[in-house]
Amino acid sequence: MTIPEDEGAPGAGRAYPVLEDPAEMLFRQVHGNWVEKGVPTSQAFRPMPKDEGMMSIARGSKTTAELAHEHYTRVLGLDSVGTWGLLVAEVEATSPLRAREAELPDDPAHGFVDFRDLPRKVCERLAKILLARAVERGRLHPPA
Amino acid sequence: MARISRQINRHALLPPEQFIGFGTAAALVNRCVQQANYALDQPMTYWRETLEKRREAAAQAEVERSSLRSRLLELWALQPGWLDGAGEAIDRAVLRRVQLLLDQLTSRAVPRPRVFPTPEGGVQLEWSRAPREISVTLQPDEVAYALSVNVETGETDEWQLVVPGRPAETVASLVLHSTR
Repeated sequence: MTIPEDEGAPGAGRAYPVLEDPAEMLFRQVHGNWVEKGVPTSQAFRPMPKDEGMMSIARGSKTTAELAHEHYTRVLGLDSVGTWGLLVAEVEATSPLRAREAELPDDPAHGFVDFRDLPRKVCERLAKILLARAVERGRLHPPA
Repeated sequence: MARISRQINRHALLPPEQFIGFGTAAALVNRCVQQANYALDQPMTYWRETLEKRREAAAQAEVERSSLRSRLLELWALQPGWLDGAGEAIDRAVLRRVQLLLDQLTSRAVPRPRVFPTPEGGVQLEWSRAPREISVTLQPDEVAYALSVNVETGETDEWQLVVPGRPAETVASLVLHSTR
């Protein structure tokens, strides 16, 4: 998913407000090749090179785990074996990550976890922490 | 002299041309005697249980090997674009290195990892050993590294795995002893 460029913003992330409700759930879709024995890879919890440091999520205040999965697979036509979840508070606790809103014309629930400007190895380390939180909670949809 | 050498070698299960020397032979005989004495001191139930445990471990290892072979075949069959249009085909040389590493880890009683493709055509092995998440990544450019993160404290350890080298020893130690 391509997020519009942050043109003219003097600081990284300036155009994307930080999500402030620590209890808001963030939904993350995971590709079928990235789940084995019911557990996703930590790679699913960091952005791919094409994402330019922005790991897409769907906001729990605007959609549900089921609708987020449906939008991802049916509307966007992408592969996902299910929805995993992270709280905004859990993302914030994984310093220096922040969850930001980034509404798209066809996806008002869209947001992202901000990995911009972080070296790859740091991203890998943070992704492992996010994975652990998501796995503790279990798959949200379809229920595990 | 030659006949004695042949006798010693036959009992040490060595070919005749590799005579091990009288000193080594004496040490070998001494060790065998100690082991035999120890064995004679154990009750029969101990040996039955030991044998049973070894059979179970061997059966479990075979199940894991088979399961890993199936998983590697899945990765081998991935076509370019396997990740929603992104994702390189998995490099064959990487798969061979992973197969070798996994065989060595299984024989060292390291638990079976979860095995995943990387978008660059590599393979990532992952273990959850609370409170640590551990991964070993092998990429087509011969880069291989291990990362172990304590998900409670954020403490991180990283190793570059030298190839050729003894990566199995490093990984086995990392997985089996990462508990903090």
